[in-house]
Amino acid sequence: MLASAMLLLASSFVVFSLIAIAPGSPLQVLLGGRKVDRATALILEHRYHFDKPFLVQYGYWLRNVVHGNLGDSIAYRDTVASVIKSRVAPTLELGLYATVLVLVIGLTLGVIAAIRRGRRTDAVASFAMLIASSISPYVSGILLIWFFAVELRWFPVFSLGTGVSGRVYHLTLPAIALALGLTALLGRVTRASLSQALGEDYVQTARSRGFRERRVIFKHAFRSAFIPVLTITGVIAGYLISGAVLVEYTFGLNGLGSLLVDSVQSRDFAVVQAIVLIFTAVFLVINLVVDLLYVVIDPRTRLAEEGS
Amino acid sequence: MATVVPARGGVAYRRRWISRATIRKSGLLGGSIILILIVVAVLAPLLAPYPPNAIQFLHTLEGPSLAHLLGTDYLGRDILSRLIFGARLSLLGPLLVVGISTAVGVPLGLLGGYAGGAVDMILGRVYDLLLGFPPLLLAIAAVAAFSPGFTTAVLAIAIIYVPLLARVVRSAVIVERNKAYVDACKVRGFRASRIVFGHVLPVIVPTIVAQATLNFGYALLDLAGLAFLGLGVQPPTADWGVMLSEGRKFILLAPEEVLAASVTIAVAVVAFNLLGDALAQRYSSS
Amino acid sequence: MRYDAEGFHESAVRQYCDGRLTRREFVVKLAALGLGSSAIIATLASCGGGGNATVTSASPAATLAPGGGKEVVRAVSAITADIAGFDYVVAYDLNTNVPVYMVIEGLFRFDVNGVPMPAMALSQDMSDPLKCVYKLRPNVTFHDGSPMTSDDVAFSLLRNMDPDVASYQGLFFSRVKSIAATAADEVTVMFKKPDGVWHLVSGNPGCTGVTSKAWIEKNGKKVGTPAAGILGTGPYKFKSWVRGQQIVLERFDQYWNAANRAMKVKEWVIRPVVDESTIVAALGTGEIDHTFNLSGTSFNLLKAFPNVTQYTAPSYNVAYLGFNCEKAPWSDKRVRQAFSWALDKPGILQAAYANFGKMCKSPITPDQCNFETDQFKAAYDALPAFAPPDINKAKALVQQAGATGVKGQVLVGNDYDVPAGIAVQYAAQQMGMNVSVQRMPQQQKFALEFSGKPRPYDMTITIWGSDFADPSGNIQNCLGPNLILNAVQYHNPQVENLIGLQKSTTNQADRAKYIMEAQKIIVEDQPWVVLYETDTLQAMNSRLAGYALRPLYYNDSWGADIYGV
Repeated sequence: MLASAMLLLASSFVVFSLIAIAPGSPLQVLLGGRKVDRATALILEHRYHFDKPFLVQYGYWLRNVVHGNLGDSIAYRDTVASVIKSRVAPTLELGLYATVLVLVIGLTLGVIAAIRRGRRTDAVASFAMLIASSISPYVSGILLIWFFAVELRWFPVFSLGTGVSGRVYHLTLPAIALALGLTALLGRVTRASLSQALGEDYVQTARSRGFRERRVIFKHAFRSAFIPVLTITGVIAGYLISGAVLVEYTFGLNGLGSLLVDSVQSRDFAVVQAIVLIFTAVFLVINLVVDLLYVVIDPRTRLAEEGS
Repeated sequence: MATVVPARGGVAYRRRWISRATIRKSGLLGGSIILILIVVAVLAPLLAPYPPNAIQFLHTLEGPSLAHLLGTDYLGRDILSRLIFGARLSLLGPLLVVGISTAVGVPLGLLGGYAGGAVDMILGRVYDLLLGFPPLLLAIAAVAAFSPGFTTAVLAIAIIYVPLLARVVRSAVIVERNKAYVDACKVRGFRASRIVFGHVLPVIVPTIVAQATLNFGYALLDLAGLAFLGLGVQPPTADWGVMLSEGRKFILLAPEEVLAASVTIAVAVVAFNLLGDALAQRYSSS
Repeated sequence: MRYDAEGFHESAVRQYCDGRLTRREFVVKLAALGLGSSAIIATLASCGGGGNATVTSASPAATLAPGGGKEVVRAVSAITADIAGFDYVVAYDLNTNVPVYMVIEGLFRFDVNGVPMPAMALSQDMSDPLKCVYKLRPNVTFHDGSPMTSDDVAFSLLRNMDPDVASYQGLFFSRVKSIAATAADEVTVMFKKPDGVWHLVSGNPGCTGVTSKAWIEKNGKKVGTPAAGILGTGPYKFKSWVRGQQIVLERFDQYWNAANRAMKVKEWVIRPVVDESTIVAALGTGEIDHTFNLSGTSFNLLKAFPNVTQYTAPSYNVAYLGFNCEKAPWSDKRVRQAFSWALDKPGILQAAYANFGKMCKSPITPDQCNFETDQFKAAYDALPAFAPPDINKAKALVQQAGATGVKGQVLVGNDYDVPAGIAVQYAAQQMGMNVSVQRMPQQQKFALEFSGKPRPYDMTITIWGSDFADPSGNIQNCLGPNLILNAVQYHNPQVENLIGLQKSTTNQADRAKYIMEAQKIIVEDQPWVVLYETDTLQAMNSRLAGYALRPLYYNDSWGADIYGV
């Protein structure tokens, strides 16, 4: 618990420092090109504590956060909470959808490839995963739009849609674009770890005991193969939530990722800090879930904690 | 970002489509492609039909022709020439990323894996911090702090890759340090550093090489992503990521640039993956 | 074909088939449609306009034929970033302005030629150069039904001068001494010194936007946020705003000028879409109906879509290569002139903006000069004629100035500035100099350019436009004594004197003279090498028509003129 809190703190401090080092004060960035007189500029500077030293500014922020106040956005002249409120859901939903896709397709391909290891099916699956992992998401995004949305009209081009079914419909192409490369990653890890597990002695034992092949695979081999798969899924889920900027831009989703990039460029301290906090917290939650699942799937890990 | 899991045993089937020989051969194929790309990058001035930055406002967005085999981009520059010259930075970037992250990650992994205890735990937390960071954020923030460019982008990505490599090395070291030969060294009174660098390291080098090779492909994609956001290599420098970003706008009118750059990147990434897989297979069975 | 279940355009046929229209109603609708369409087409055909053959620059008649134009339940317009806030005090960019000035109106409203026409005010009396007396329009109500009073107007104007509010339009009020409601229908503004462009400031809804004093005081911190928006008098009212997703504006049927505007779109949905390629694709599928915010090269892609109509109009914007005039060798005007000779300006326009623009000899675009037009035209024609690139001449100038072999950097921000930057680099190379392109995010670049401190850069590519139809707009702040806005650090005492003179007199004939003299010197000095003038662009789904595109669309309640065809 303490470790997690320290992690959050460290993350926020690093980000704060990086933005503070950046040339150009946030005020200049905000007002750039617009005519504002000196008195107004001074007032704004004072309001956002730009006239105070760096550590003091960080201190103010920290104190506010502890009291549940995420601060104010310079660019939007509103509370940070209000600014990020409507962007959290799209990001999480997209990340979740993409994770589901990655899991479903990646596991399927990986399992098929492992079971049929060495045969043609494996070759095809492995090759497909290889190709998928080498396509850039920004290119796949625009290609998906042009082909499936503009040409075929099967899906909409952008935005979030309304209602549950509308949301799923609208997020399909972005989720695919986001998931493509990582599907391959999960598939490869699944293939490698499952085929290794299938070669273990206990599997041979199970086979020799006459269990059906399907039971052998899914009940016995899966158990131990699942650890690395779970690990990489955790990493993938974290990445999907925080790394969706390019997909957000392409599909006009306006989630936390694009807000983060914009806020870094406009030196909107408080917003950046808040988003980093959210991402780090999500990452920690995912880690926690993964750790719990380790124990559930394979009780042996409780005893031999060699770290994974 | 793939972790290398050594393949053991394998299931005995009657006929294997992907035999060990196939993997070895595809590894050779991958290696040859990489070699070709390197040669092209080095010999770029000799191979490219036009200078990469020669603007021709009268011939913009032209399709493939005899004069321009892949057509021209929105400033009239020859796409093929830019692709050839682009190989330089596009291959150098990932090379530096992998080099730096390996140079930093290996010692850290060795340290954490061998020493264990508090040191390992602290390092583990640092890795968590780095991995929990939205990958693009560090790059974006770094670029905001120190102006955008090739160096900043490379350093930012390299820092993110350190924990990936360090963890792999750490796991491998943990496996090795419980083995008999390490005990034998200890009994003979070898210093820890000698054991680690002299005996353990050589054993895990193949794992490192295999992982590094795979990281190369990912670094290529990540750097291209940064160039695309305008945070890495700057126009008008020829670079595959820059070409993706510049050509993407005109995909409806003239898709040649995007397609050429995507295919080239994909081929390079695939080649590195094939090579990496072959190396992983070759060395892990020993 | 639309995807959204909410609000698609219902055709009369569909209604008839669904049994919601009787046969008689259906026939009547068709007839009205036929008559209305012919009326509209006839009106459109009679108003010609300039522009490309494939692109419409025709301006529909200012008043719609009675009964013409179909009701549109919902239309979607795209902007390229979420708005800064829903309040006129922060509405000073091409995105925020688009929805806000549908809701807020100023005392005057610019017509197609940039001439201020009465809106909330009926007249402005500046016979005394130190005073401006507004007579207000009677019987105007805010969106909540409350009446507009002179107290509201004075309060709204004063907000711009309140340091606590920190309005972006503050500097327009630098010469204002006081503002007060002097009668039930009158507001008087007193000046410290005469302000030569105040009659135009009146037409800028950011400066003279009118809101309700009681409402602002009641809503305090919620003003401008998604919680409350703002209260105005415009043809549309603020309905909702989900950050990053959409802003919904609802038609205000009690709008004072409803009889003279189309008022056919019931609901306008404004959506921020960052990626221009996405906007293009969505226009093609019909998910977006309208946008102003595409740059030339993206706009050009729309010609592939038969269901999208492209509109162009002139603008007051010029794209230029700016030099740091206090840094050697750029301080030597021969070097600057050399670049003007070396650059292929038509080529740059083609690459950067797909030819949606034209060549311009001066920072002041001809369209900005809508008074003393003969004099301005003569002055413009007297400027050195436009000539194709001459590298030899350029090289000679560089050698004379002793600048061969010099290294430098040119800053670029937006995508469409990049081709210009690359062209500058290429030209420099041909002249024997070594210039590199430095790209940075646009906001960062603005911060650097308008910092007010000594500038570190050598050159910069920027697009700049005047806020009103006045020739001083492009030179007054950027090439004059204002240290913050003069990003090129160009200080010519003669020019600064002339700028001061034209600003301090309300005699427009004198102003024209001073401005033309200043223009002559500036064009000789070339602190800005003007690359091209951009066009104003609008893309609209062919099911809609109406708004007469103009350079100052972003200060206008554009959506009230759009109707279904």
